[in-house]
Amino acid sequence: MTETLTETKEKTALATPWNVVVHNDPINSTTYVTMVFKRVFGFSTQKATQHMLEVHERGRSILWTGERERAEFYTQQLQSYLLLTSMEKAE
Amino acid sequence: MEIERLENGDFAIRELEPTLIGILLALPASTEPGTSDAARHRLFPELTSEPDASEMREEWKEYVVPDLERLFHDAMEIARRDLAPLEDGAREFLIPLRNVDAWLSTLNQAMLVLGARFGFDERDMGKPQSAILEDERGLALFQIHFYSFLQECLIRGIESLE
Repeated sequence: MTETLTETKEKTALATPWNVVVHNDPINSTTYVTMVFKRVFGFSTQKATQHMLEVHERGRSILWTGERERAEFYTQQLQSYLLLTSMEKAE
Repeated sequence: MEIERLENGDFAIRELEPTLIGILLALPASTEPGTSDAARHRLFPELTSEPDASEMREEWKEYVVPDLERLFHDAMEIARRDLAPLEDGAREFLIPLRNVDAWLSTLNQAMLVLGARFGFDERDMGKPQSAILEDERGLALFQIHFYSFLQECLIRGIESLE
């Protein structure tokens, strides 16, 4: 019984969707942030610019939502470009 | 200073004034967070603030952060090698096309470390250049603006190829 509960808990944790969030910082240039979004997600210039503006004007933008491992992959990619990136559980 | 895009895609940076040579030579050291927790935290931000994700955070620190450290260090070493002619008194150097990503990373590392160490905010970043060269903080702000300008030139250069 305990095993089944633990397994269910783990499956639920893995199934919970996660947001990949990029936060604003005063240093990174808008050109650089837009370039990174295009490279990491394959966004068009228009879509990348929309997310960049959302980061700049609202302080954050959700770039991707989905399963945890993929979210970690995108977060690592964005952090490797030095964007201020974190993950949060999607509501 | 003059930046020329060569036929093979490399960038030639020429006619550098002594001040700019000094600022370029300071680039590798400027990427080091040293004892600044703020700078280190900015280079390696927390994965998540979810209260029940402590295991995820620990795994991130154990497996991902060392990879990021290596990546940033390797990029900085590439930029340092490209800057070697300036150490020998030259007023020009080359950024090969294959090294541009390393340069974008190194410039960004330095900008973020300086920004975190000196606590610059949006208002500081918007100050007119003539008003900033007054002290160590002003010099750091000038460094950030120059590195950002160079980064912008490199991005526009590589994007014009796509």
